[in-house]
Amino acid sequence: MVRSVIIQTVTPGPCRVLYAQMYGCDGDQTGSLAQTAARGRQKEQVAAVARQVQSECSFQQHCAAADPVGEEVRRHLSQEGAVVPQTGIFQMPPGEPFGTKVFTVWQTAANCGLALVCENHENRQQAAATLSQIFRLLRQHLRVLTQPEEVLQKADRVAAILHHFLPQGQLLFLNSRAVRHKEKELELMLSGK
Amino acid sequence: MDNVGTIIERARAISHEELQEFYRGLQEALKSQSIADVIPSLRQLWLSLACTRYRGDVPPDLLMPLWEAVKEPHLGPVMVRMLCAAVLQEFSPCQSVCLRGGELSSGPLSSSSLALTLPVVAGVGHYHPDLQVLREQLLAWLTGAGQVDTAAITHVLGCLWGMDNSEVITLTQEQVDGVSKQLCTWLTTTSTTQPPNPFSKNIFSSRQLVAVTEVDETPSHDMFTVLSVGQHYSPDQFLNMQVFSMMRGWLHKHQSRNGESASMALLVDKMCEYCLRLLDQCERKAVVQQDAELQQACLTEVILLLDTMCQQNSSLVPRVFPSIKRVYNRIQNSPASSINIINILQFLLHHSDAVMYDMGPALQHFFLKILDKQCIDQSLAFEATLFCLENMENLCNNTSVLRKFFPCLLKVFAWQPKTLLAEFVDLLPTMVSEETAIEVLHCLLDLPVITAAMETVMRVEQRGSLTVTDLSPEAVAQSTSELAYSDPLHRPLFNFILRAEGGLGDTIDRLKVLHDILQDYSTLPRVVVCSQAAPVLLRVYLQTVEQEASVDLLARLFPVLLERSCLLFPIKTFQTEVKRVLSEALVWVVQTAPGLLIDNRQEVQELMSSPRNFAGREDVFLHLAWAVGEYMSVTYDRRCTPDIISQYYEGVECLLYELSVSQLGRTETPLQHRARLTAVLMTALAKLATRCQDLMPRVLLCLTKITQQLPASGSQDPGDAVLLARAPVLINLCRMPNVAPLLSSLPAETDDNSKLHQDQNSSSCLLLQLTQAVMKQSQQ
Repeated sequence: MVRSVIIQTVTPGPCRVLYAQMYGCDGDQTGSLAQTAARGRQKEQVAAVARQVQSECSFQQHCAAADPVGEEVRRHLSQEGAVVPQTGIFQMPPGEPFGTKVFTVWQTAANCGLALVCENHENRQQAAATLSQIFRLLRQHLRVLTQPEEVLQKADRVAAILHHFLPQGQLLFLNSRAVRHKEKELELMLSGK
Repeated sequence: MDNVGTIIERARAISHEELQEFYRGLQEALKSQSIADVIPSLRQLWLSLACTRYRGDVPPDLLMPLWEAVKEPHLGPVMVRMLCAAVLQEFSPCQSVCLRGGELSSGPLSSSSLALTLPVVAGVGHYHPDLQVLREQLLAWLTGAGQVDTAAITHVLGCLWGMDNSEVITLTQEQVDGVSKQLCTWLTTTSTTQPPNPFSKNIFSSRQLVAVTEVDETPSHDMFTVLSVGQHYSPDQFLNMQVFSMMRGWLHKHQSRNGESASMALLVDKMCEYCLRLLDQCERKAVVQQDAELQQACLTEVILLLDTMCQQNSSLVPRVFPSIKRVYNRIQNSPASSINIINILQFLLHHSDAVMYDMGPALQHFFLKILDKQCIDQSLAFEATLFCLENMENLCNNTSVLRKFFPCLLKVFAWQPKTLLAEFVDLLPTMVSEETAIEVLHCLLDLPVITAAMETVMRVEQRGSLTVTDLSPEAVAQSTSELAYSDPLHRPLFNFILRAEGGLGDTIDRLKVLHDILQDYSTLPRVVVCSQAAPVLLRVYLQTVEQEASVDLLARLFPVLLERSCLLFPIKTFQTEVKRVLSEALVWVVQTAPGLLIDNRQEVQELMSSPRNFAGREDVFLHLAWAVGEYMSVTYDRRCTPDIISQYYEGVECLLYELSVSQLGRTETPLQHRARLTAVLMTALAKLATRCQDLMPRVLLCLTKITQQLPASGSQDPGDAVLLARAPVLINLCRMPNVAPLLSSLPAETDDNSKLHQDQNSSSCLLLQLTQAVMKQSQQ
């Protein structure tokens, strides 16, 4: 199961979380925390992941910048209109910040980053595939690369995308036609049927 | 201008009164009929809640209409209801939402209603007022007692499984069986025909029913699976996909080792069949790239599923093993499937005993032919590291791969030092054994070199495969390292540092040459981060060696520590940190085996023969000098003859004279270390002299000379005051040859007599007290 979906900014400076959806809850939480504290804790967990994603992304960018040949290739690709997102994956130990061990797959392009925090036994390839799908849809229906603030202003669109492609935090094995079917459903929903 | 920051700050800055005003306005709008116009305000509401953790609730008068909108499809367009649900989820868990969540009606509910309400309910989690009732309701819907259409079942199943997985609700064995039976039905009775286009407005199409196809467009003749392709899908087919997606978690949680119920056994059986069918489907060549990627993900999922099922029920192993083996033979040389090879290795680790299969060659093939060639592939590196970590015990006890292929694993680390540090801190001790310890040490000390070498190879290969012709001047110019890599004279150096297997040799003679070649790359970000991470691993290594090492290993380790302390990759902070760690290591090595100072006296004396060796190795020098003074004694090693002590004495005395007296010594050594070194050397000298009485007059002469020279030299060093204070103490100590040896060294650990003067029951204590009393008396 996916524990959290996070959309954030990644440029150096304060790391802003634009959208965070949590699924499930930590096994050690049995309703003993006051409810406001529980929500505060969720926000902290999300912020911790977001900071680490920003840090990893920044490291990769520095490494890429120090590679002149690679930079040239990337420059040519972006001139042709292809978006080459940076991707990565890392693990977080139990307790920091989620109760159990989790891994995070992330993808960033321009100033927008998307991260999926998943339980440790989850299928990593499918998590990465779902991540790509969601990122593509975000680029299609919201201008996240040029205007990441659209996520803040149009949260319903983000919610709709997640509703179809990550229902209740479940990673789905969808082949190309199934994805197309769901995309059509999403488009119908977004156009306000 | 940071738009995101501005928007968030503005949202946070809304005052409490403004917010209440806004809530009232929104309430009115929601009550009115024109709910569709409410979207901008609802978006604003979401933002004002999401931007801060301190606004956790809305007034109940606003909450009611929000919740009603989510529940009742006729109240508005779906996007408005979606937004209401998003708002409710944003400040969940929350008292008011929980109460609302408890009132799910039990009438016939459409999928549209359940689709939006159930996620909100699930988001409430533990704070739900009555979880039992909720659980019963969900189960009733799932097992068909309530009237819910198939499209809605997916949402109910998702909600139930989500809450079961997070342990918010607990299912009894009977309930688990009931659900398992349903899951089995949904998996096996899915229709294999493509439904008509649900998005088409033409409801009177008289299309023939067409069967679904495989990913390579051949018609399908077997049961429906996630790899079955159709133009459109019916709800039960989506349900099939969902059941498969959640199956591994379900089995992991509910399949038990001690006797399965009939429903669970049937489910496992059908799941096996489904998995074997998927394995067949994965052999087909997909037409669409996305499907090919799905095949890889499915392959992973199937192998992991079969592994889970076989762990609980080992009678399944003979049934599935031939298929697994067939898959392995097919993919073992395919770079795109490397991750699945790891999954198969995991399966083999758990089950190869049951089928008498020797997995040694498979492991060897993986490390040498796959991981070695693809160690810069991020996802493969991550998977490989986790594979080693999670199966650490098994790999350590039953195979020797970790001790054999540690250079390959360290290459994986060297490329991603930031991401994988925590994992390698746990993994490193498994690589260290009596045979491999020295080689591992050399590898760790050269980790930044490995990174730099890998960067070189990557650039050379990139350049080789380049199709872009108009490069900038920076990109065109080849660096020294790249040129050296292409040069046959230097290639063997790269081949050695980038080897995959250990046991070929600890290190090479021309290591310094390699350091010089790669020096340009010492500022690359990856190399710098690796150089910061390497000392952490070095400490872990030394801790491991400290716990386990034999005297023989320490004897081999000591000269390496000395030698490598001046042969490190030229990154300043790296060198400083590593030298500090090495010098601490030297101390405990000598503490554990003091005889090493005798065995290695030539190297040590050579090192200490000139102040020039001091530069850049201050900590090592100091610790060594202290150790010489401390441990050159018969109490620590019987072989410590007066001859040996004299030899060391000569060296130390010579150095001390050079340092304090001669002008040359003074200018070469940096000022802040000179005093400290002089102090340590003086003390060491005194200690050596106390063990060999012939040296006593010499040491007295030496120390006296120093006390005379220091004020006369006119230096401004504040450390000189300390030296001048310490020298008389040492001189006085040396004038008492009977007690000097005892006072100048640490008591041996077996010596219980060190605290006699404090022991109230011993006579020496009484005598001391008596003497003190008498002296006081006589002073009065």
